[in-house]
Formats: sequence, structure tokens, C-alpha cells
Amino acid sequence: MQRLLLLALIAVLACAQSPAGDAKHGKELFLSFGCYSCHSFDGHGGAGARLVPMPLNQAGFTAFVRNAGRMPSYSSKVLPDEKLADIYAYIKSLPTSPDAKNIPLIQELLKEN
Amino acid sequence: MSKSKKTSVDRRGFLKGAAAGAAALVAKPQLADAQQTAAPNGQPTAQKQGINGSAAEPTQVALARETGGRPAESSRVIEHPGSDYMVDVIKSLNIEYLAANPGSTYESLHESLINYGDNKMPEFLTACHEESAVAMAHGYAKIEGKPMMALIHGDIGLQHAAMAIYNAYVDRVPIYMVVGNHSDGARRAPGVQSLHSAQDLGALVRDYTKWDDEPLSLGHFAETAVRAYNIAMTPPGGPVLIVCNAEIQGDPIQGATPRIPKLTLTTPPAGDMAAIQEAAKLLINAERPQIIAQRMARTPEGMTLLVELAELLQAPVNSQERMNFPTRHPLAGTGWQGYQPDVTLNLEVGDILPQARIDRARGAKTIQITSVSVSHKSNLQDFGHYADIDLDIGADAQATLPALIEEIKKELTADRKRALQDRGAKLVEAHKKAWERQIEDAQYGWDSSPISLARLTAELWPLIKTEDWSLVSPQGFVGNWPNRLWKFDKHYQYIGGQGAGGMGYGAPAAVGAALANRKHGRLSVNIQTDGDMNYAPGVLWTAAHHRIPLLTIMHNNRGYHQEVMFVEQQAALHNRGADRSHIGTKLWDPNIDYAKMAQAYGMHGEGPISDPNDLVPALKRGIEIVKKGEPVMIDVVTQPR
Repeated sequence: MQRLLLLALIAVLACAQSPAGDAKHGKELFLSFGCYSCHSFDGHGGAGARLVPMPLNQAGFTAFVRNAGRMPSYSSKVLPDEKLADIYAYIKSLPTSPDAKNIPLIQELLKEN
Repeated sequence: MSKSKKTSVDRRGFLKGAAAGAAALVAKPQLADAQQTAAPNGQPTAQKQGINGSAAEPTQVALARETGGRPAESSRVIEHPGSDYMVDVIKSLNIEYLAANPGSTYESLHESLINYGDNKMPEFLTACHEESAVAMAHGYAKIEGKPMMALIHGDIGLQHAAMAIYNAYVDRVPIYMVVGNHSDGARRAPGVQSLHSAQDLGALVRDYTKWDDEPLSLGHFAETAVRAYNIAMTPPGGPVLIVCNAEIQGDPIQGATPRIPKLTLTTPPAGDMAAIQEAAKLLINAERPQIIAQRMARTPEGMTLLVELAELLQAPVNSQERMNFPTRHPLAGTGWQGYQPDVTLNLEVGDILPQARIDRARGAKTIQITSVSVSHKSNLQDFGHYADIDLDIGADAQATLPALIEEIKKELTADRKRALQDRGAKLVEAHKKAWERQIEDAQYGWDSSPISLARLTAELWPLIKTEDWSLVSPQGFVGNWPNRLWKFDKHYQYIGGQGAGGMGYGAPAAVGAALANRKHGRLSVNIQTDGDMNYAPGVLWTAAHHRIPLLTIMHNNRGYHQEVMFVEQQAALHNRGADRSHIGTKLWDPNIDYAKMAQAYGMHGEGPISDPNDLVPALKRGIEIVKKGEPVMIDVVTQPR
């Protein structure tokens, strides 16, 4: 039920106007606010979820950070929308990982079973 | 120089302490110097105590010891000290190694071990910290299945050792500890000997030591020494402590030596038959049983038994903390998506409450088999919460499995067997899918710099899989990637974690485990967290000095990463920014150079490596050196987790 409400909220907010972010400043915030500590320096996940590729639009991302589940939630006092927009822009700029099909070592591992 | 001597406040104070200490150590009636310093009641004379009743003036013996001179032979020779006999007793226990940081409370025993005992069985390993000595013994026991000895200095050494003892206690691992003490107050010198002595030394660690004793004679020592070994080994295993009086060590043996008792290990406690029959019925009739095993397989036989039980029941096995079950066995895991167990069998699970709560919410039955149920202490809360359990069998799980297996075989009907086989087929398919997904997940962050832990683990696997390898480090802080990517199917291939979560365990436990692996020719691999490494890095020197082959790969995320995340959580909870969470948690500015650290301790060190493309050549170089019998450290700068 909570998840449905969250998705509904994201959908509504997705229609709202969102400020364009500054990826360079977003990187600084991503590091200084410790986003990397759970999501890795490149957003590929670790203790926390993978952020790349980012499945949410900016409004959905902002809504999630404000009312996160297992992740700590950050209020607008701590991370205003403008700063979240910068972080979002940085995440969107991060390259995706190569596909497992194109990594020979992973393919070798899969043959071992 | 012994630790006691190093800790003196000033030189004069040291000389005073050493004077009386020397007197105590040679204090037999026939020794002239001791006679001169002590009254008939054993107390220092007023003259020797000094005007203010403080430390005695230095004697000839003390001055000679301090200045390197030698006193007259007749005043110092003890041909047959009690510590020689103690060595005979220790040798009867077949202990391979002891690790120790030197200390004057056991100096007589130290000398007897290396000369009278010829430094064999046990062989002396020099540790740079008592915590390292005990943690080495911890790692060793988890590979070898029997205790190593840690020889510990009175008071201060034991307090240094305390955290490692607690880890071993919670991890149910046998460790054989001997700690020196100047027990006789009349013969103890003022100053450092008093600082390093206690009325009840075992009390310092009794809350987390399985058993301790302070024998008062050589005969008593023999009985205590053999009993202690037996208690350490009887499940649940644990550290035991013998307080060894300096006086009994140093005094000459009077007359014939006492007989050394025979060691007979107590058989592990097995479960009550009626309870086993009830457990068998519950498991046979369960639609979706699950086996959870933590500190279950004490020996390779434990793994064999668990495989037999799982295959008989066609039940998934969630193995934690130890090498209980092969990682690529089709029944390894937690079942298919949405698999909700209706009966869980918990084997030597530390804190069962989380599982018991889940079971209760689902209406499932919870069975527990653990020897810890019949071996509790009160103060430290390692026993966890009280939990609702439907069937609680107070017994060693490994020792109970043969009877449980036989009972299930006896009661399993042909119809039920067919149903179980159908379930097994579904579980095999689920395992295959889960395993493939885990391997494919390694792609995320594959090209990242710092290097992802998945990439590090994946690149290491082809280089070790054809060797007889053993992972001698915990996996929790490395995302469990070895478990996900490597094929673990031997008992010695994984030794689990700290026990009580005490940092500073990793590096010395890895060295101890590698020591045990050495005679088997195994390649020991340690993926070493940086926070843990910095507790007592001197263990690297121990590995280099004693030629212990060990490949250490730094998981260098430059911080106490778990705590970084915790402080960030708190900042968010308190509605404050997380941008100061690095304060008190990060290990940067300056970055620690682990290659140089390794080199300083006399071993091969490389790095820091941040580019994943540089990883394999460095790992290959490292493995080649380790295979020649040396320790190696490769510093890899990694993603946080």
C-alpha cells in the first residue's frame, strides 16, 4: 500500500516543473553528502540500490529522497530541491556498466555451473 | 626487554622494582641473594624497603640483570624449574604453536619453552600485541579444529587480549590461554610486579572465558592444564585461561614430578532421542522446510552430514558464519521466490529471535539445535533475545545430525519421498536462476575506479581456483562477493567472521589461519578491510618473520565505512546535513600507504591500485610470491562496499 502511494505521488510530481540541475555541482554534493557511501562513486550500487541507469524522473527522484524507505530521508531543509536537481543531473550523467554478455570473465563464470 | 621493564616510570623506579622481582624469581632458601633481601616471613626487610616503605634498594642480582652483568653462579642457578615440568604437561596436549608478546610474569616458562622444550610442540611465534596473539589462535583453530596457545603477560597483557578473547568466546572457538601472575604478594616486588599482578586475574575476562583456574602447585597445574584443553574443545568450544604463578614457574621442582593426567576429550552432547523423533516428524511433513546453519560444521564431517540431511529432505540450506554447505550445491540458498518455510531447522544459530519472529508470524514451526542452550553466562548479552521456539534441543548440532538423519530415513514413506523429490526439482531450478543472477550482478561497476568488490573478487577467482585455496577473512564487509562468485566446497575454504563483531580480528586471524594452512600447502587468501588492519598492523611482521604464506588484498575504502553510513543515517534522522559524516569515520588526509606498510614490516607490498586493468598482473605477482612461502600485501583502492 505504501509503495502504491509512493508511485502515485511520483506520477503526480512527474508532471510538475523541475529545475534543471548542474551535474558538476551535483557531483560535489554526491560526494560531500555521502551518497557514494551506499550507492558507490559511480552510482552502481553497494549497500544501497543501483542508481544507474536512473529509473525515476527528476520529480520522482525528489519525492523518493523526501520519503525514502530503507534509505534515510532528506528534508528540503537539508537538501533543497535545487541541490537535489544537481545531484539528479550528476547521476544522469554517469555511464552505465558494460553488459554481462560483453564481459568474458562473467561468461566464463556462468559456464562453471 | 620484557614489557614490565619497559613500562617503568623512571629508571630508578625500575631498578627498585627489578631488584625485588629478581629476588622473588630466585627466592629459594639456598639462594643467598634472596636470603639477604627477605625476612623469614618472606617480606622485604625494613632496610631493603627503604625509609618510606617504598621499593627495596637494588640487589646485586637486580643490578647485574639491568646492567647485563652476571651474578655469581651459586646465587642464580635453578637446574630444574617448575616451568620445565609445565612444558612437559603442555607438550602432552600436542599443541603446535603458541603466540605471545613477551612479558616478565611468564619469563621462566618462556625460557623453558624455547630451551628445555626446544621450541617445538609448541613453537613460539612472536606477536606484537596480545590481541594479535589471541586472534591468531582464533583463526588457527577455525582451520585446524583444535586450539593454539596464547601466552599472555599478567594484567596488562590480558587487558590487551580482552577483545580478541570476547570474539572467540562468541564464535565458540577453542583457544588455550596461559597468563603469568606474581600471585604471592610476599614475594612480589613493589613497582611493576605489583602493577602486573592480580588477586583474581581470571576475573578480568571471566565473563567471556569458558573456564579459568589458578593452580597452586605443579600437580594442580597438570590437572588444570589437561582439564582446560578438554573444556575448550567440548562443544560449545571456547577460550580457556590458566593463571600461571611466576613463583611456581620459577621455583625448583621438589622431588619427583607429578604424573601428567591422560587427556580424554568429552564426547559432544547429542540430542535427546524423543526430541529428535519429533523434529524428524515435523521436517518430513513440512511442505516448505528450511535449514539455517551458522556455527554448525565444526569439522569436515559436519558438512558431509548437512549435505546428507538436505538431500534427504530436499530442503534449501541457508549457510552462514562457517563453511557448512557447498555454495554451488543445488539446495544452497533460501528456496524459490516466495518460498515461505513452514518449518525451520536452526543449527547452532547465534541469535534466533529474528527467524523465530518470522516463523511465528507465518504460523511456521521453529526447531533449534544448539549446545549454547546449555552453556550460558549472565553479564554480556551475546545470548541474544529469548525467542519462542517450538522445539529446543540443547545439544551439539553436528553430533545430533546422525541420529536425526537415521530417524528421517526410518520414517520417510515412499509417498512422502516422491513429494520431496518434486520439491527438490523446483529448488534446483530456483538455485540455478539465483546463482546466474548473482554472477551477472557482478557487471555493475565493472569498469569503475575505485575498483568494485565484485570485479576484485571475480578477477581473483581464475587465479586461485586451480590451487588448494582457503579464504581466511570475513565476507560481510566485501558484499559477500566470494560466496556469490566462487565455488566453496571444502570445510577449510571459509572461516567466518569475528564472532562478537570486534574489529582488529581480521588481520591476525588471517595470519593464524594461514599458519594452520601452511603445512597443508594451501594458498591462503585474505581480503582485508583497512579499518581492521590498523588496529594492530604489527601482525604483518609476525607473518613475515615466521614465513607464513598469505596473500592479503586490501579492501581499501579509506574509512570505517559501516560507521560512515550510520552517521549519515543519524544526520538524516536529526534533519541535518550528512556532509560532515566523514568526521571521525574516514581514513584519509593523508591516505595510508599499505604497500609501504607491508614493506616496512619486511614483506612484499604493492599498490595502491585504482585501475581495474592493473589488478590481475599485481595479483599474479603476489600469488607467485606467496607460493614460495612468503606473505604479500596488495593495496587495492575499492568502492565502499
